[in-house]
Amino acid sequence: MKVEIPLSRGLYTDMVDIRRKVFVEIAKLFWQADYHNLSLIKEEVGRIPYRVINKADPTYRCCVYRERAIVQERVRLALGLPRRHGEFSGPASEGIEQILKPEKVRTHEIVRVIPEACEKCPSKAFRVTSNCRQCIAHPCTLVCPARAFDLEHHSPRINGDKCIRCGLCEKACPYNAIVKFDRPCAVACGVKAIGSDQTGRACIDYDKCVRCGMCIVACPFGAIADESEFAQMIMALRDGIPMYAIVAPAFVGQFGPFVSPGQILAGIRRLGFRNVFEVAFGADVATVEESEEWYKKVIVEKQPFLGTSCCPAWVDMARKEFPEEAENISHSYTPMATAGKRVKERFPEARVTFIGPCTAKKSECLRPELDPYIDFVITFEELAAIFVAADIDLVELAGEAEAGPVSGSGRNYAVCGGVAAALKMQIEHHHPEASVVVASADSLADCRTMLKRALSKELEANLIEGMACPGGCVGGPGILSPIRKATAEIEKFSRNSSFRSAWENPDLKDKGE
Amino acid sequence: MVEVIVCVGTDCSYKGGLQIYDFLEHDPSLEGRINLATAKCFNRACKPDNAPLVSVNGKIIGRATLDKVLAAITEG
Ligand code: FES
Repeated sequence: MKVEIPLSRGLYTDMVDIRRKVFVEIAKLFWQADYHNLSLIKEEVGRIPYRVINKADPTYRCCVYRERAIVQERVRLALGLPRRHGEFSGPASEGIEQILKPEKVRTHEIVRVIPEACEKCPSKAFRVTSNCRQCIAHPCTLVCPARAFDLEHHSPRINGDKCIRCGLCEKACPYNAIVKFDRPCAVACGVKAIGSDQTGRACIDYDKCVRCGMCIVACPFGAIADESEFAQMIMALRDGIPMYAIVAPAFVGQFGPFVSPGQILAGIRRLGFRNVFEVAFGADVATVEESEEWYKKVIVEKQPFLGTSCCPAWVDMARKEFPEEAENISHSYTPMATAGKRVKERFPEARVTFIGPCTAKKSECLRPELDPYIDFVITFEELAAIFVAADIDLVELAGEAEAGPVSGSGRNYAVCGGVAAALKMQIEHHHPEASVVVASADSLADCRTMLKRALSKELEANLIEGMACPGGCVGGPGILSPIRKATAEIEKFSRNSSFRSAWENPDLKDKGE
Repeated sequence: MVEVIVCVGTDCSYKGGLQIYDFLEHDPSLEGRINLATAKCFNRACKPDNAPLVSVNGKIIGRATLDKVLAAITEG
């Protein structure tokens, strides 16, 4: 883990509370009611804001009406409803007919600002706070090259129109009275996709956005959320469609220290999935393919390095920002796609749900070449809401054996550095003469720096691993467990696997020999 | 000693029970003052909307928050 994990991650904040309440309400509705009954669904959807915000006086905002209006938008996003233009327009269930079907309904713009919830935080603004002692020297005003200070009654104030945001005053103040305000969403965004609309609210540039979801968990007002489709997934389960689940390697430890990986798998089966597999199997396949790709490109063709392909947000960023260098990033499918493909080959009638920590995969599965392999993508947080709605208590279930032969190195894909380690092990096994030099980064900003340094040959590495989330997938926006704890659990699970490397996987016929 | 039992059933965990447990387990000022234990779902007392549940000296707190639990512990 290289980047610092924001302290706020893993806390149970009021923001988390509201989001989860909305998820549970929706999961309950579709678990219990028949989705063909349009008038009932409409009525119930309209009630959700009143259930979630059920006090007479406001708790979070100016009034309960605004609180409910915001919850209403959350409900719409959680249902996968299309974006509406104009504010506060119409009932929550508007357009619901279009999404009441057991199939994919999302668009590519899965990360969305809820304008009603955005508090228009100042962006890169310097302000004088109450720490100011109104000192006689007031060095702040003297160092300012833009003469941006107004001195009213000895209390300095910064004129935003004149300020050039150099930060000198902040450094000069002996009382730390000047602070830089920034938007948490924009700071969290590694691709600088967040700007402001005319009203000063955050808005997302979808040409830049790679759907990593970091802004969603960074906004303390919960003004950004991702579209979901767990409601449609429940509809498919209730329709008796043959559903199969594949769970991302980060699932281990997500339900806390008292729930074993086997109990999570058992819980998923209990929901009505025919079977559940570990995506880590797809990771083993990716390890085999990508190691050969590495050997061919780096050793045979003398390409300087190969970038890993398992994190769609990192791949997306690398391809968008460095289009000429796209060849340097692996063309292998992500483990999700490989695992989904494999399930569909074995069970042609299957519909596949990917359950993971990731929002980028919600968008990735819409790509035409992956569309046939993955039907639904949901997060761990959404899965937990369905367990609650279905009254499944994981701690009470008998744990199941592991889901198929998977290597320890594949299970470690969820942790920063795990992908490159698996590849290195595989390459060194098959090509002992090759020297693999690894570099890895987590968070998109660090990934970009790493990639730039690799391109300018400043970085001596021929295998570079990029992960958009802090600590790897285990720090994704859809997680339940604090990042460090889950990392420890994953590493333990990986160590206890019956074999360590992808080439030992008996289910991989083509072992890259 | 105050007996504190935190439900770690799925509903309670999802609504913040695990974070309460985690705090109680690690807070040095509570050391020697509480007997901390976990329970599986308290007989579905979490339904429909009471999670998370924590019991302090046999008294069950619904929709528990850390503040509520700490206050109950202080009362004894
Ligand atoms: S899960 Fe805690 S009381 Fe039911």
